[in-house]
Order: sequence, then C-alpha cells, then structure tokens
Amino acid sequence: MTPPNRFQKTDPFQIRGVEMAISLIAVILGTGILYLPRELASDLNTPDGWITIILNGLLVMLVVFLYVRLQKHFPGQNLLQIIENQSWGKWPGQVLRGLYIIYFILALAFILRITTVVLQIYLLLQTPTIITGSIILLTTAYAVSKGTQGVIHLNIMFAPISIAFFIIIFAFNFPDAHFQEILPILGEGIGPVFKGFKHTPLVFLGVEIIFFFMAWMKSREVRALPLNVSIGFITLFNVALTLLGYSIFGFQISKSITFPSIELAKELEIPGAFFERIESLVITLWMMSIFNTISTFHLLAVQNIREQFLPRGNTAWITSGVTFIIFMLAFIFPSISEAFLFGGVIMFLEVSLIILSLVCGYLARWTASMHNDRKT
Amino acid sequence: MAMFKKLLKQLNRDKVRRGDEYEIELSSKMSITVETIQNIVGESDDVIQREIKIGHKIPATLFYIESLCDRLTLEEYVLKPLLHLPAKDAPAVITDRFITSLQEEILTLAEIRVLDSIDNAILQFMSGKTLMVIDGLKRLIILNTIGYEDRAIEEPESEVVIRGPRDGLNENLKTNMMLLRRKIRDPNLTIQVGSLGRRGKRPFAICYMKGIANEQLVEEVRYRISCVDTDDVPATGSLEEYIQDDVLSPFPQLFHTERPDNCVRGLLNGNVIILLEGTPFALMAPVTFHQLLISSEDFYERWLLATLIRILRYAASFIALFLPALYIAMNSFHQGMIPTTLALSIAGSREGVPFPSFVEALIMEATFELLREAGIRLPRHVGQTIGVVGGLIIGEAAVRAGIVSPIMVIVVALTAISNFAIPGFTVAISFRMLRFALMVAAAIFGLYGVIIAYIAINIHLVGLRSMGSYYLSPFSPYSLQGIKDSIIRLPLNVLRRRKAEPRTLDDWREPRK
Amino acid sequence: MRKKIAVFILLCTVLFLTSGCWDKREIEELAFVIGVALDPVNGEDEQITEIRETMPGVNINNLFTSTFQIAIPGQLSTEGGGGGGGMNGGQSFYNESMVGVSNFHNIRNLMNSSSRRLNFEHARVLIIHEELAQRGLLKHVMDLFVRDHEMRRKSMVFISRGEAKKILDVQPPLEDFTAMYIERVAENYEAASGMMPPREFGDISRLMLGSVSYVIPGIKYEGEHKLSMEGAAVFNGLQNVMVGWLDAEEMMEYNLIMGEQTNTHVEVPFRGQHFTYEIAESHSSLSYERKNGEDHFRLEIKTSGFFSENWVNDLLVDNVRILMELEKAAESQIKKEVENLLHRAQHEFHVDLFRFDEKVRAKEYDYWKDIKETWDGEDGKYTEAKIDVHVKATIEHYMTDEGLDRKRSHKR
Repeated sequence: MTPPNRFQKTDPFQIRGVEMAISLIAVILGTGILYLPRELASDLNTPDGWITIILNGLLVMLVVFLYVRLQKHFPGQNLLQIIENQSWGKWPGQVLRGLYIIYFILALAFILRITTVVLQIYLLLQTPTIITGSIILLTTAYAVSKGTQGVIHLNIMFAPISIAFFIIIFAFNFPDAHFQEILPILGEGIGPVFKGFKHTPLVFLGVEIIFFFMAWMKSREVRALPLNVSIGFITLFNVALTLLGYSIFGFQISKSITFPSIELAKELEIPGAFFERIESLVITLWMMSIFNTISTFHLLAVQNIREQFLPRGNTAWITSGVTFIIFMLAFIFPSISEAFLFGGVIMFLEVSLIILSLVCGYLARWTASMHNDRKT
Repeated sequence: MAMFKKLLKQLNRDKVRRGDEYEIELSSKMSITVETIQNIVGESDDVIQREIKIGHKIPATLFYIESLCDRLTLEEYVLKPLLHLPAKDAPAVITDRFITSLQEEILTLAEIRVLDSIDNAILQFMSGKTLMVIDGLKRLIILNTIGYEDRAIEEPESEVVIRGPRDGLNENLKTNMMLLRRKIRDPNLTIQVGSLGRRGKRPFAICYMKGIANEQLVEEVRYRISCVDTDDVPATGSLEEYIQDDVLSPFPQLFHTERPDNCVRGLLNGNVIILLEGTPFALMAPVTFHQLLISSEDFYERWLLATLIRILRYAASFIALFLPALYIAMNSFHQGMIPTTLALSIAGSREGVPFPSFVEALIMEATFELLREAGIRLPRHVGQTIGVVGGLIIGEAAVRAGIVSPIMVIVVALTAISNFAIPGFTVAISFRMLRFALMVAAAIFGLYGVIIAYIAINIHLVGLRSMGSYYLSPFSPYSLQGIKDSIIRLPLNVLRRRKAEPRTLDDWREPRK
Repeated sequence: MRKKIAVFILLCTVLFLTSGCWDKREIEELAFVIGVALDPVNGEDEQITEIRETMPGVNINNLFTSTFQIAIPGQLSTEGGGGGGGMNGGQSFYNESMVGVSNFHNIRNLMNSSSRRLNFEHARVLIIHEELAQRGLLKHVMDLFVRDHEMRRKSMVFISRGEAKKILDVQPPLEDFTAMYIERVAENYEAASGMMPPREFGDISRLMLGSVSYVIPGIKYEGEHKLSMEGAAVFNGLQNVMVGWLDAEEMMEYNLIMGEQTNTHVEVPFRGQHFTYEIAESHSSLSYERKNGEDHFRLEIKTSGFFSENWVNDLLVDNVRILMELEKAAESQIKKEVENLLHRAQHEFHVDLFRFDEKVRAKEYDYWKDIKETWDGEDGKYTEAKIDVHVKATIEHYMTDEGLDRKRSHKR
C-alpha cells in the first residue's frame, strides 16, 4: 500500500495573474517603506523625493512590461532557464544564477538585520536580536519547506491584512497632515530629483521575483497589466508615506527619524478603543509582510542553489545551510548605520542584475527567433 | 520533513489480510453444507437452525440469527409459501428451473439471492438475512428477513439550527441513504455500498453526484477507503483518521455532519459523502477551512443576516484562538497598548495575584477545559448545573482567593463563549489546542511570539490538503467566486457558480447566461 | 528517528527555559508614571552640593528637579486586590521628586528606592517651569521624552507659571489623578475661553527642530484642589527660548488667526454698552505677496456665530440694518484685537507665532533661503512685514425669535 497522497501529484500548481500581482505587493512592501522617507529627506534636502519615487515606479513598470513580453515567448520557463537553453547561454546563465544567489543571500541578511533592529527598538527591548532573528529565519525555513506553492499562497494570505493596516494608518493620520511642508515643489530645481535615484530602488526591492515565478503561470495569464497595477499601488503607497511623513513630522524632522512609518503609527492614538497605542500592533502586522519578503527570497535562494550546485541534494539540508549563512551575515554589521550603508550595495546589485537579466533575456529571444527562422 | 514522512508511513503501515476468508467448496449434499455452516457460526446460541421440507418432500435447512431477524417476515413470507407448496409443484430432483420458480413464483419476499460462495453468504447472513440450504443444490439462498429496532429520526443534537430542517442522520445506513435520496431525486445521485473492516464488515456508502463530482476525487476516496484494513471502523471519526492527508495536523481534514441538508449541499457542491453504518455522522470530503466555519443555517436566513453572522463567527474564532494569548502579551509585555485607565485597573486587580499572567491564564483555561469535560460525562441535567455552578463559583472563589484576577475570568468566559459559537465542533477543538500553543508563544515573546505562531499556523495550513484540495481556498489560492461565499455570503442569485474547491465537472449552479 | 525527535524536544525546552524573562515584566510589577513636572533648582542644599562635588564638569545652572506622579493602582480597584497601602489615605497617586542634571539620571536615581520599575508608557502630561524655558533648556529637558520609544507621542506639554511641582500636587475633586485632570481640562479647549489646543510631544518635537517659532499652552496653580489653564508661552524657534506670555484674553485671537476650530466668544462694545458674539465657526486664510522689497500679508478671517447675550438697552434685534450694524461692530472689535496681537508678536516678541513663514517659503523659495535665519528676531524681516487684517463676521441667529426672520424674508 502506498501512502495516500497519490492525488496531490496529479494536480499541477499554477499561479494566476491576480495571485502574482498580490504576491508582488506582499514581497515588495518590506523594508523599504520603513526608512525611505528619511534617506530621501537627508540626502536630497528638499521634500521632492516623492517625485523620484513616482519616476522610479514608472521605470519599474517598464521593466515588468519588458519582462512580460519576453515571458510570452517562453512559457513555462524562468529567466535563467530561457538563457541557459540557448546555445551560447550555458555560461552566462550560470554566472547570472550565481550572482542572483549572492544577491538573494545578501539581501536576506540585510532585511533580517533591519527587521531585528526594528523589533528591538519598538517591541522587545531586552531580547537579543540574535534570538528574534533566528526565530524569523526558522519560520521562513519552515515556509520554504512548503515549496513555491506554499510561499505564493502565504503571500496571498498576508498581503491583504498588512495593506489594510497601512491604509488605516494613512487614513487616520491624514487629518493631521500639514501639506504646506512639501511646498514648494521643485524648489531646488530638478537636480535633487535625480539624486534620489540612489535610494528609491530600495522600495522596489523584490521585483525580480517575477523572473522566477512567472514560469508557473499559464501562458494565457501572462499579462503585464495586473502586475503593473501592483507596481502602481506600491508607488502610490510609498509616495503617500513619504508625503505624510514630511507633513506630519515636518521636513526637517524627517531627516532624523529613523523609521518614519512606525513613528506615523505612533502618532496614531485611538481614544476609547481597546488598544490606545497601536504601534506594537502595527509592527506585529508588518512582521507578516516582512515575513513574505524573507520567505520568498529564501525560497529563491534555496531553489537556485539546488539547481546550480546540488541538483540531487536534499532540500532540507540546503535550506538549513542557507539559513545558517544568512544568519551569520546578518549579524556581521556592528551597528545599524553600517547595515544601512550595506543597503546601498544591495540596491546596486539589484539594479545591475535586473538590467543584465533583461539584456540577456532579449538576446536569448533574438537568437531563438534566428534559430527558428533558419529552421523554417 | 523527511522525519514526518517516515512517521506518516509508519502510521499507515501495510497490513496483510489474514484469517477471514473461508476457502471452502460448496457441496450439493445438505448435511455437509450444514455442517460447514455449523462449524463457522454454530457456537453462537442466537443462531437458529430450522429444518423444513419444501412442498413436503425436499429437505432444506434455514439458518437465521434470532436477534437480527424479523420473525414475522420469516414466518409469513418464507415458511408459509414453502411449507404450503403443493407436493406436485416440488420436483424430486432439484433443478435450476425450480430455483428460478422459487424466486419467481413461490416466495413473496422482496430480496432473494442465490449465491455460489459461502464467504459472501456468511457475510450476508451475519447482517441478519436468512440462509437457506436446500438438499441437492450446490448453491446457497439468501433471504432478506432483516428486522431490528432503530432509533427514530431525531433532531441532530450537535448541529442545532433555528430555521431549517429538523431531521438528522441516525445509525442506520439505510435510513441515511433514504434521507439523502428523498432530498435529491436526481438519477445522478450515485450511492455505492461496500463493507469496511476485517471483522466488523460494516457497510458504508460513498455518495456523489455523477456529472458534478470530479471523478478523480471519487476515485481517490474509493482508493483511500480500500486501503483501510483493520478489524473494525467503529465511527466516521476513526475512518477519518485512516484516510486523512496529514495525520499530524491539528486541523480536521474531513467534514463531519449529522445533518442531511449539509450532506446535500456538499453533494451539490461536488463533494463526496461517506456514510457508515452505526454512526449518525457523515463524512464529507474534501473540506476547506472556511467550510468549517459556516452553518447550514446561513443559507436559510436572508443574506445580510447571514453575512453579519459569518463575520461574527470569524470574530469569534479570532477571540477563541487569540484572546488569552493577547491578554498575556498585553499584561507581561506591552502594557502601553492598553488605555491608561484600563491598564491601571488591570494592574490594580492583579495586585494580590501571586502568579504571572501566563500561569494565571493556564490555570483558568485548564480549569475551564476540565469543567467542560466533566459536563459531557455527567448526566445531562447535572451537567448543565455543573457548567453554571462550576463556572460561577470557581471563578468567583478564585478571584476572592486572589489566585486569578477578575479580568482573567472575563477573558476565559469570553473565550469559552466564542469557542461555542463556532459551528464546526471539530475545528473548535483545533482552536482549543492551538490556543494553548499561542499562550506559550505569547508568554515567551509577547506579541512577536503571537504573530510568529500565527504565521507558523498559516504555513501549516497553506501546505495542508484535504483530498487534494487546498485547505485555505478561497482565500489562498485566491478565488473571487469563492470569496462571495466565505466571510460574507452574497445573495443566492449572485452565487451562480459552485465553490472553487473541490474542482467539479460542472461549475455552474444555474444555467450559464 | 527517535533521536531527532528527542533533540527537537530538548531544543524547544531549552529555548523555552532560557528565553522566558528578557522582556517580561508583569503589569503589576510596574509603577506607571502618569505625569511629570520639571522645576529649576534655586538656592543650595545638600543634594546640590553633593552633585557639585561628584560631577564637577556639569553646569550647575542646568540642574533641575523632576517630579513624577506615580499611580497606585491598588487604590483604584474597588474589589479584590487588597487595597494597597494606605499611605496617602486613599489617594490613588503619589509624587516623587529627584534633583539631577538629566531626566535619565533622575529616573534611575528614583529606582534606587522604588519597589517597582518606573514605566513611562502611560505618561500623559509633562509640565515645565517657565524659568527652565526662559533659560533655553526646553530642548534638553524634553529630549528624553521625545527620543525614548517608551514615551507616547500624544502626551501633552504645558509651561507652568510658578512651581510646576505644586501643580502635580493638586488633588482633583473629580478625577483620580492630577495628570488625568489636566488632560481632561486641556481637552475642553473648544468650550473654554483663553485656551489653545493642547500641544503634544509629537508637535513639540516637530516645532523644536523646525526652527520656527511656536507657543505652548500655559498652566497655573490655583489652590489645593484647583488649577487653571490659560495663556500660552511664546518661544523663539531658532534658539528655543521662551520670550514671553500670551494672556488668556489673547488666546481667542490666536485661535482665530491660526484658524483652529474653537468655540469662543467676543464681548463687543455697541452704543456704549456691549453684547456677546459667540463664534461657532471660523476660518482664516493668508495670502502673501512680495512687493517692492517688502513682505505683504493679507489675513482674512471669516467667522460665523450667534448673538448670544444682549447687554444693550432698548435694542430690538428685528431688522437687517441693526443686524448689519451688529456685525460691523463685531468685525471691528475682532479686527482691533487681532491687530493688537499681531503688533505684540511683531514688536514685542519679535517672533512669527503664526507660521506666516510657510507662505513665504512656498511662494518665494529663493528669497526664503536667504532670509530664513533672520526671519525672527529683533530686527528680523518678520517685524517689518506689512499685515492687512480683514474680518468678516456673520450672525446666524439670535436664539430667541424676535420677529426678524419673517421681516427679512419679507423684504426680499
């Protein structure tokens, strides 16, 4: 007698368009929203950072659009498979995969560190960050054991809750906002807006998941629109956060508040409700969205390592190994300032990887079409 | 994970069928056959053996079990025609023609079978039918003379509704099938009967709607049930344990119901219903998490009320699961979250309490579980009294003695009430178990622990399947169609398609426009 | 297999046992500070001498006394609990003072003698003595309260006339705690006269770092069971130094200029006597123009309200002409008072209390960058600005029907 799970195997997992879009929100809304307004305020010295966010959002939409066009030609394959299947693509594909693995692991370490710092400041003052961090990692490792289906479904489960809570924060803070603080628009000219591009990619950390997950979609559902609606939503969200941050705290103060979005939650006091101060609650719910980011990256790191180095390896062991490496890396930085600097490195890696991937991808499409032409 | 898989294999260990098959050739000599049967069942005193002569000449022996047999039927429709058969109609030598005429002309009984194997015959005999051996016939005749006392159809006690049918399933498989048939008069309602258990040989029925239910699902249910090989399956609860997907999960993966209308709704949704002799609970497969939180009454009330009640139920499950954990987290970690006056009055009321809130909560929750268990065991009327007296007196006394704070009593009471508001008894039990896990998490890490535990539960649920269906459907995988009938229930004319899980052959409830 | 499970269970147990007590503090083991008062230290006593000796590098002028109001929760619960110690004879709080050079130092010192850990998550009120503010110490004494994450951002801040500690000693007749009493009073600003909307920690931190001038509501000790809230302390935003007091009478105008929603009233002189004009709603709008190297502001105030109390003899409010006269009188009265206040701000305090600078920044950004350091101050640009005040007051009804409505409609 075989164990009774025969049925499960006959049922292939697929990601629907809406699910991919929700996942994208769940993954991208992570660390960036925590401290972007401050970075923008202190570096730009004008409150125009929100324009940069919008421009960057448009660029990301372009990336999504380009990739979706590429994906339509290669249904059921992820970006790296597309490249590796070309005659020239073996080496570039593997190098790219290696870079992605490094990127995912570094990004994970960075996100983990920021998360533990937030937890220590606002939620658990005495508990060592090593403990809180290891608990998150253990939880994500458990999620990784459920595979792509599990991680995607978790994204869908948690995204609505965290989005709803952030919207509530915005709505309650809105009446207190002094929008005069963001005037004048473009007071220092257009220069600072471009300077802001040094920081804004951080809020879109995680777009690259579509390079991997869209292979799970039916070719009929591969469309750019729902994904770009998500990107638009994320952009709007960050713009709203930045503007609210500036207008609630004042622009000058925004430079010195480490985590403006949580301070926004602190501003909120609901007299007469059961919870008077909700910042602990907000951090708790924010944990869900950060969990989505971490678990998705964790999964991709594990899957890519498995594909690259250990095609027959035990996933559980790879997961544990990756977990351990991330854990070690995360606690290398002596203080939060170094961690923030490290964020810049990750952003650079992310942007260059995206550009590199798209270039290689379109090259693959070109060679594939050449190949087909020759055949016919 | 590999560890769990191994454990799973162990739990579903293959067992070899042994010692329940009689490889006996039938003989045409009656005395030999009778002796064989006597060897098999003769030691029991309620097995009656009656010898007759059909049409005054052909010797035959009737075996029946006194306790299961309706004597009147036997006398009136079997013995009378046989004994009163005119001698001229009875041949000297038994021929196939005579057997046919016995069925077609002589016996006025509804069900008569002629069997070749003694195995089969004994199985039928043991369920109360009369076994007839005729001299010179190499086959056995089974006469359905079953008749025994049954419980009447009563209102199901575990699932009471205000507006809706009052009939409930009972222990008789036939009655239960009747209840289903009476509600769906569609020839596509298919009921397939088999028997379960090496010793118990309990009849069970798999019911599904042909043309709606996914054939793969039906096949899977059949396969899993066929894998069950044990002495006896006393109730659907035990059957569930044999055929469920994840043995280690605290969540029920099949739906129990005592209500035929629930079964009917399930059938029309493409689910498979398993009925089992001897238990009033039907099993429905597959089940999704949100189905456990709905009651059949939701479809009998108007949609606005149903929606509000569903939201209330989701709130109740939230309270049942999280309230004590939140109380601990607030008290021991996040005192700033509570409004100042409330914080001070909690602090004031806990002034004399010697235990940390976790121990306090544990004491009270455990006491409550104890009361509840005692309430079930005690005679019904006493049980109610104990519930009230226990709750009030112990709570009051504990507060006066300074063991717990009054607010803790409120928390426990609220949790208990919320737990009772959940319609699915099985999922309420899961919440009770998980509540303690969450309390521990809250005691270690406060809100952070609670959220991590919540995330972990979600990870588990996301990986959980019930007969191949995603457990968290329609939330994840997301299905707009399913959301319309989940936390909310839109008007019935909007719910034109069936639920997302299980996948069906025919998605539309109403003709597609 | 068994080994793995055993290791897993062992790990769980170890985690559970070792981690139990990092952040866990039971609610009844905490002493909730609900109000704080800060006073300057004058004169010399033992404590000060001691500090002078132990910390020679510290400026002794920066010494201050922190007074903490700590709740006694046992006194609150009517049943169970055991009723705490009867130290104050049933009073539900006690105040504790400590002298030091920093709030943190004072708190830690206080813990030496406290059976419970001090917790500031429910600190609702902070009262600062005017002298500390005048010395320019506001930024420093507030720092801990703004910086620490335990503090709420919605706690209220007041500047006291006279000793702040005494205010916390007031025994309120209706509330359990003085801090709560203060908070409730401050929330009544809409109905009371002479009060402004309360300032919260969040506001203060914004204002202090924003280098703009601002006001903080004042509070005054009135007796053993009474305190009062009136007026506001004016601060120069650049140095965060208190430069003077706005009187209770001036708060109405302040609220009108800021466009804060308040329910206030004006006693309007009319024909040698007066009537009361109750302002139910008010809006203010400010426009700015830079002409000929001068800053021109135009402040428009629109109010609508009721004719609430009549002290004018033989006045029959029964036609539109009289009504318009009344409105005119109210307008000129309001205008006069507003102009007085603006004059005081420009020429007495030399600070821009009303955030006129925001308009300048939004409209003339380049100009603003040059002058932003010299906007406030004795010969700052603000003092030279021309401000036109326009008031539009409407009287909506009279409370009693004096036949006016009918005639008014008749005329149309």
